Amino acid sequence: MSSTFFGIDIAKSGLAAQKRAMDVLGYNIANANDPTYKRQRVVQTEGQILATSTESSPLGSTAFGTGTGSGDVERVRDALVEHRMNIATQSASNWDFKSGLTTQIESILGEPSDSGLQTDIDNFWDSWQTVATTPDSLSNRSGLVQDAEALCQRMQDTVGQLKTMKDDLNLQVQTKVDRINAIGQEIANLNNQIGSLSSGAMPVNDLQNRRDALVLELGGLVNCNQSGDGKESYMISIGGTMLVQGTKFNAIQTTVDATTGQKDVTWADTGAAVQVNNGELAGAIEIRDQTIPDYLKQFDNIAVGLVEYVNSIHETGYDLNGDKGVAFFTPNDPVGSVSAANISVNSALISDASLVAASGEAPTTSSTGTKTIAKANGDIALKISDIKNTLIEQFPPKPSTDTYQVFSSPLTINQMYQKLVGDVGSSASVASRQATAQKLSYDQYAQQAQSISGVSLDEEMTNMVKFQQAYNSSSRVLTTMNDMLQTLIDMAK
Amino acid sequence: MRTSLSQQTQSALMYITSASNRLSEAQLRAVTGKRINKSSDDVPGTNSAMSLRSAIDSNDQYSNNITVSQPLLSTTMNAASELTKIIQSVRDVAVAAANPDYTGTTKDSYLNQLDSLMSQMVDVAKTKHNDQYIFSGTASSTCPIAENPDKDATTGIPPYVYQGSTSQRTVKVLAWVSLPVDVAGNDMFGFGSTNTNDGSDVFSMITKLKNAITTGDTDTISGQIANVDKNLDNTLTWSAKLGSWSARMDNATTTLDDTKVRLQGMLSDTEDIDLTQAVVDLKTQENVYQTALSVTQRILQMSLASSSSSG
Repeated sequence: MSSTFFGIDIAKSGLAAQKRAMDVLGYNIANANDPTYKRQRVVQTEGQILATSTESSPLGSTAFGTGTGSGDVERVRDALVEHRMNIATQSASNWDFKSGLTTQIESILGEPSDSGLQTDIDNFWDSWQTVATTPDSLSNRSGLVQDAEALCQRMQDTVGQLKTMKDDLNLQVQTKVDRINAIGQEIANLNNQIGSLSSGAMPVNDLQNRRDALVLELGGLVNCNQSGDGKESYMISIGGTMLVQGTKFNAIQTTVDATTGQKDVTWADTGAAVQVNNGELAGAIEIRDQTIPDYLKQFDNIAVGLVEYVNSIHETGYDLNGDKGVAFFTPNDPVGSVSAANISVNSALISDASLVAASGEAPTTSSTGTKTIAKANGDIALKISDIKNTLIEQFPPKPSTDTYQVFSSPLTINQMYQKLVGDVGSSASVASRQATAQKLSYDQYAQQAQSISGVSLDEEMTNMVKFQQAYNSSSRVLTTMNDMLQTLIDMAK
Repeated sequence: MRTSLSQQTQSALMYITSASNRLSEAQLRAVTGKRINKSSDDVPGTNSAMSLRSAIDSNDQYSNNITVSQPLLSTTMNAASELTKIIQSVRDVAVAAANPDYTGTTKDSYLNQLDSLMSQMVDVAKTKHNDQYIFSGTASSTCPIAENPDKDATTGIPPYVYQGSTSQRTVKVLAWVSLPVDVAGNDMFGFGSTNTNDGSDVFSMITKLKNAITTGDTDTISGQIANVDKNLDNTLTWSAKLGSWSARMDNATTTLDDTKVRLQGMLSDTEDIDLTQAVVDLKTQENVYQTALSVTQRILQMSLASSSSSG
């Protein structure tokens, strides 16, 4: 036979357990809307089994249960699903970031439209034709110079905007690196706190939730691999090198490249380059170092093509005053010095449009001594307007053999620009499709994780009924025990 | 599979967002009337559209060239026919003067007529169009003829020199066709294609006739008629050529108009939406969006918490 108050102890343990379960339930419901919260539940255990003492009974020794105990409060989660989610967010963030940037680049170019660079280039060729048709008109030449200026202006603006975007991305690399460092430091601190608290306590669960949320955010920024649990064994690595190892944190930094002025990401302690290949940081670096410079190079080729080809023909012509043509575009020395950022019309032409050399006929002096200027000859202007259909094969153009750049598959200037627009468009559409696809993949894992760890209000409500009834029953047991003891005590009165 | 509250709201938001995105895309297409609003909508289509635009632009420029040049061609044709009439009149005088029966007063009247015809011819030579000489070839601001300082002292031949250019003005009317729009003065007035001033020009022709009439030798005068005929033929040949260039320009205009219609049709096929389809699409997306909204509203309101009673 057990001790007198043994039954009361059992009931009491029942009450305590249900009350604890209600506390945890209340905590779950309070945090239902936090997307990073993982629901918790009490692990209800049986109380310790006592073996009987010296009582002999026909059945041999009997074991008595001592009620219930409540053990750990555990988080309901699936570590594997969360791991997959972390990996999925890396690609999803990368493509989403790049999709935003490529769409921006697309809107900078603004094609196809009736007022983009394509229209300016076509207007430029048209103006040369107008001059060729009526070469003796000074106003046609003024119109030509103005169209040329508009073209240069547009090119400079577009390229300027791309360069600004590139510089912004450079700053963004810094911002992301700072955030990565902050996350890493905080995780290391959390590891320290988690390790010093006893496990199974609710504050530990909260710290772990916070840590998981940070790791997810880190995954959005950079490719990282998280393994281990607990205090010392918890590790996060980027590209094989440890960022956080238990309570230790290795910072990353940006070092400015002396020649390009760009920020490279390196480890603070060793100076070795960080292997960044996913996440938003990789997206920023890729657009900054590969995508935009490629577009800038294509723009430069178009600019140099215009300068080289137009100038070389223009300088063989004669202007309205009978003089040999000067350079149409400056700077006149294209090797390395002309780019889309500085292409401009010769200022001498801007101030005096009669210097536009449209004529292919040299001036002659007649027998009466009058200088005859072939003002209505537009051969050179016609030749220049025909550059529209000329394949740009090499710089400087044929027949020169001293080339500094040769194109293996030549295109016309218009086609070169169309190719550039096509490149921008396809990178934008690829990025957009990939972003959607990767986001779907991430959402699937996220949904799965939510399904396991999310708070379902319906479930909590039913549990609430369950705990409430169990509590009521335990208290009934207590009351009944009380009555029974009362009977016992009344017995001895 | 469990569903949590957070999951429900996330899913609902996701579907509403995607319905809203499709709706705004359909709206954009319906409003602009274009299927391709940015390059990434259809990359090969954009490429096509851009090169078609460029081709239409070239086409328009050629039409423009023709519109600008046709007046010059007309002026030149008029001047050429004027010149033909003058030379015809010179011929009439020559034929009349070759008649051996004329008195002294008739001789003076012939000479006066020839002088007047000469100055008319000089005026024709100096015709201007838009303030530029039409018979100077490409040297359109240089006066085509000037008095010859080296003319022969006795015969006065050649009385004028041609100081314009020997090259014609041309204009590009189609990608593969350039047409002349004038006749260089040396060709029109008989100075020779290389401007050899050997007295075979029309001004020398009148001077020679005047000299012949002054001497009174009818045989010489008769000989000059052949010279006049030669120059007349020259003028008529060039008039015919001017006429043919004008006709070719008209043909080019027709070709350009047809090409433009064709190119614009192709551009429209590439770029523009089918309006009916766009409107239907828009309506569909609207419905989908509204359905998504109302369904979500209903679902999210349901919860055990609102229906369970306490105690």
